[in-house]
Amino acid sequence: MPEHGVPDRRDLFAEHLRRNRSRLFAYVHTLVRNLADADDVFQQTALALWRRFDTYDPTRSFLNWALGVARLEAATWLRSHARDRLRFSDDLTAILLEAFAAVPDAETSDRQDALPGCMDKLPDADRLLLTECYQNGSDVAAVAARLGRSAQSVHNSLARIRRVLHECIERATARGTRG
Amino acid sequence: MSVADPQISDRLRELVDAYLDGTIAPPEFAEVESLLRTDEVARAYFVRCAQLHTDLSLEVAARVATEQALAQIPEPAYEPTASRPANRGLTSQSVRWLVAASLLVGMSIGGGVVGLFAAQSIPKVSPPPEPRTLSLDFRGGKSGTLGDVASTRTGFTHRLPGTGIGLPANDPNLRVIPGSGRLEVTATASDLNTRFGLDQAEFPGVRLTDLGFTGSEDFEVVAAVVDVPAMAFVGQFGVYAGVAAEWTVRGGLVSQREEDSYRQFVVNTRDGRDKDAYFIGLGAPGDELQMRLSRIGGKFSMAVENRTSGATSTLATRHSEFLDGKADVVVGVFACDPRGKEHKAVRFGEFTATVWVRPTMK
Repeated sequence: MPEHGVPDRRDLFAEHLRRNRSRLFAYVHTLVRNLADADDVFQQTALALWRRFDTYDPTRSFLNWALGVARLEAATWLRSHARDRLRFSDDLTAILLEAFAAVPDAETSDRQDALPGCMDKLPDADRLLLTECYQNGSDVAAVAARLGRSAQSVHNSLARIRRVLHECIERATARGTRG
Repeated sequence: MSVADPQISDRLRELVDAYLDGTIAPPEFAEVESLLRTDEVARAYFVRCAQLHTDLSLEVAARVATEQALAQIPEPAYEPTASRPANRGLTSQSVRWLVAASLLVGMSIGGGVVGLFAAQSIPKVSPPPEPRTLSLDFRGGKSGTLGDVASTRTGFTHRLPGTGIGLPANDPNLRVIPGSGRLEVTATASDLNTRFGLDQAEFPGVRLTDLGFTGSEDFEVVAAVVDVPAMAFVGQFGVYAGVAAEWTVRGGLVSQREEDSYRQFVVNTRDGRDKDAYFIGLGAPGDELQMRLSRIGGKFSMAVENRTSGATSTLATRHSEFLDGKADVVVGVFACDPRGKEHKAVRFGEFTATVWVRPTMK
């Protein structure tokens, strides 16, 4: 913080980015569909936002602005790195941008807070499968091959586990307690 | 919006799950695009699922990083409880490691943003580890690998150091069954516990260094047993990871006093004595199993899937610190029958050893 209590420009940017990073990252992750790639695109987006921060209108939503930049960065990245990857059309990424921006801050953070407790309640085998599938962003086919199971079986298990987690998180956030 | 909202169709759930898992086919992709473009409830559901998908990725990464950091905190050597100080507390070194672990977790989640302001550029995150796998199908291994009774190559390149030194080159206890993809290992009167009969002990395996292992990577060893034999009490078979007969983690099934009854086990052998043994579940002769010994984030676990009954059970061991940082680890299969008079053969199906090696930075 500089003299006279006026927020430094970098501090202001950092505050905006930190407050919105979760939904911004999730949006990027949704578009590029791979955690390592999402990390690359998120970092490129953060740098792009910083370079353009002078053009940001503080009377408008930072998240909407950042999501728009992320959308462009993800599209550029997908064009150059993942031509063969199925990806949403431009008009749909714009529609989804609005849907991501519509989720209240508090709801996102409440659900994130509840997740660890809900994961702890899973049976060991389910937690192990989540680790297998999510640790390195492994695709289901590779995990299935490692586990000696069919891809459909692993996919079904993941779907079931995510549903259990969704329900647990909703119960936790509804009663205002964790887990 | 609740995920249990009746407006959310089973079809939408299937499509979103397939999208997130990367298993969606082009026609389904077009279908989910259409739904998301036209249906507000579908979009809200999709956003919620996508957020959980990302949160899970970050939470799992944080958990793995935490375990990896904690695994590097030295544990006290095994010793009787009475000889330990009454109140050890946290040493300054422990505190430093805990702080390092916290930083590691923090960096996994949002460290890039912090780095942005330190140097105006975001540090590159390490690429994720990649699996390197060695698979044996027992249909004729490479020359130079251990030979069976008929000189057929098994594919196993090494033995657990300290075991099998009295066995001949064409091992009479190993038999590759022609054309079946099976390796029969006849249990001998041996046991790592108390160093019993080690010169005849059957612990064929492979070196993890041949897969790029340097001592700290995650790894796993998987073997299938196609027909559990009826062994005498404490007869046992399974998979192992160790640097010597005296310093090994092994797990599998061990025969019980009750006839035709097995329990799953995992145990650390420390200085030639079995310690920290854990048991669970039951098995029976004739069952078909897949056994998986994994070290993830420094912690071992043993999973047995009983393909006959459909049940799977997992055991974790007390931390096997004697293998921390050791590169010369051998993994493989074993069969021991220390009390049996008629030594039984265990038929192993496919065998794989995998090391998750971190690639060099781009």
